[in-house]
Amino acid sequence: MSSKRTLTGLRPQAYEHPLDTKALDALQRTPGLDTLIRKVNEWGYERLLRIQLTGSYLRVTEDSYPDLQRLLRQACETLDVPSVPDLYLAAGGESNAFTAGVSKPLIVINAGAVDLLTRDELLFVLAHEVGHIKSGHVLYHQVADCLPAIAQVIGTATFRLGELAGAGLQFALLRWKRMSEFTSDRAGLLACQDANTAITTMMKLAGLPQKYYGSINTEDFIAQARTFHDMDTDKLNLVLKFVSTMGTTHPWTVMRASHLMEWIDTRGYEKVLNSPQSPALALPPGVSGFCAKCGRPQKGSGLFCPGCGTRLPQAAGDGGVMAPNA
Amino acid sequence: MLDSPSQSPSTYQRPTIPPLRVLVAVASPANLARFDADQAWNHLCETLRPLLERGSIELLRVAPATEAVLRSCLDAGPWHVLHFIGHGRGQALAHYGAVVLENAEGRARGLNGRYFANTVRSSASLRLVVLQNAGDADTDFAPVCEALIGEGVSAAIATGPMSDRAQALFLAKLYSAILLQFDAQAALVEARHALAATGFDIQRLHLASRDPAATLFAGRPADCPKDRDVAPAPVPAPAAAAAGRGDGSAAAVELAMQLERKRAACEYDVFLCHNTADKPGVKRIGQWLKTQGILPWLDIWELPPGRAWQPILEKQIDSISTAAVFVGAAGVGPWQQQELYGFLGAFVSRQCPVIPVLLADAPVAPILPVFLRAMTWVDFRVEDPDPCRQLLWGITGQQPA
Repeated sequence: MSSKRTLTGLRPQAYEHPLDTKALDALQRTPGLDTLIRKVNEWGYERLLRIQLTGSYLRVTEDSYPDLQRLLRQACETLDVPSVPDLYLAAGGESNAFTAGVSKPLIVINAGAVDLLTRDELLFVLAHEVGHIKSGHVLYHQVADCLPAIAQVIGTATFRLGELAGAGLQFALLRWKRMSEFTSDRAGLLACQDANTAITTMMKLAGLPQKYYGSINTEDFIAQARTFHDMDTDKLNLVLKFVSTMGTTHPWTVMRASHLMEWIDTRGYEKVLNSPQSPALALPPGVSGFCAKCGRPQKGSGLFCPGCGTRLPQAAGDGGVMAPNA
Repeated sequence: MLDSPSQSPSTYQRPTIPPLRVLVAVASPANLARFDADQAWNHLCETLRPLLERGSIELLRVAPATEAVLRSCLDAGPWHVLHFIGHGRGQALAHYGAVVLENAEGRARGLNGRYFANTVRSSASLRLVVLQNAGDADTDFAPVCEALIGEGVSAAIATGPMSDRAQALFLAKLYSAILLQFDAQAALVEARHALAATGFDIQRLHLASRDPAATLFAGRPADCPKDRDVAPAPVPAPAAAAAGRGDGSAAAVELAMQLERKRAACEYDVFLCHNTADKPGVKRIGQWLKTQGILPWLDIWELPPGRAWQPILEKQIDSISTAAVFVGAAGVGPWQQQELYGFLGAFVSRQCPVIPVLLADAPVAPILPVFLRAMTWVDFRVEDPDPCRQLLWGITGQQPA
């Protein structure tokens, strides 16, 4: 394959999926989110997670498993993520990976993914995870993971009223989490810069038997994705789709492929590749500034940046939120 | 894969041509913008009829254009070229492309580039894949071409949408050049040059090749016509051989000086009257004539940039002793018509010979101006009589030994 473009100055807003943006707005309007984030921080969940992962999985470094480390570095360089996260190898036959940690993110990839995926497919997977970090998804992902436990505590303290509030928050969180996968798929594609690789990865994730790995026709999968997408014209189908996915953390693989190909077909991918710094740094309506750490637009008077969890200044000149021309 | 044991890629010998065996798939799925597949097939056959009638080329249509039938046809090879006409999709920056065949119900079934390339690779003899856009301007076959090369196909050519006339020129020039064992790059130059005159955006002609300078089909068999208009024959020794190559030998120097003296005295032997679309082939004939000590007048060699060309041209028309009027796939061009009428006047007054020359890709029944029809032709579509000898005879008035 030809050499890949390095997307210097790439801003996550340039490739953010509109459904991700919309779901995030809905999530941020859900009562109780700030309290929840504060609780997660107070409980030291991230530190606990890091201890668990470090004690359970194989650490990837420049010396051990250097090929994986090189791929991760490549993903970070292409997506213009200056700090390379830690990478761990976990047991498990499935092709899977996840990211954890806000202040010091780490990525865990299953042995199954390493065994079954090609080099470029692994790059897509790792870049997908790096995309979660770049877009500041990890904080809310962590919160979503902790939510059931927290809701129980709050519910007990509030005579179960808190549990009801928690259910609404959980629904909003899970919905946003599913939508955030679309954004990270775009990051994966921007790094591997090969739609065929992205789609074959998804087909493998969808359970393609190994005996067919040598003869993959991605067009059949894309045609299936289009059929799936066309079902939206029937309102009952839309409701059934909605109900079927509302309890899950990841959207259906076919749906992901459909959204990714749509982005390519509508030239969105091409635009970002040609102009990674777009959109220009300007304040959209209702945005008060940008987080000094992750660059996410800030709306309203939240205590924490929804992107990276950084505590935001409440007074002007505090240094946490930058005006666009700062 | 589907390679037979006797034709595995490692042991396969390059085919000799002709006949050039071309497998043609025309796919017009019911659920995409329809075009008349039968008409496209008929147009292709009609355009290549001169080559078909000479036995230089064989065509077989994949019908219906499904993956299963394509595989079955490929297995029944050997094939040298796969020519696809239809829809596809492609995004070069995403390195993604697909061709669209038909499924069992006649609806669209895409095959992504790598899958398509793997399918095609089942024919070990196949060297070239031509992907001809059937009218969807957004279709970019370039990524499929890259996938084909990545999977081992020697060369792949993709085109944008074409008018019937542009398509006819493209097919005639491309396949004539292939039959003459041109490398992929040179074959495409032939086609590009002809297409430029039709208004076709030549940027929409894309070539991907493992080695653009390598001949696609090696080995000229005995029954191949001597199409010396586009593939000059071995030059007779001694002086001529050196002139074309400029090898610095005494004979070459003498020949070059002889031509230079003629040029200084404006004593051109023959005016090469041609359609711009045929220029590459005419230029090669001009180069070959030089090796025979004949000084031709060809516009690109004699018209200096920045000067008014009409007075210069009129001067030659009045003074030159012979004209060769070339007719190829593009027919007689508009400006060529004016030249012809100028020469007609000169011919009447000075009785100088005007030689109609049919190029190798000329139609079976070329349309010639009335006054030319009475002249004896030089026909590069046939081997006997030798067209090169005939041309020399016409120019010098002396039958070559």
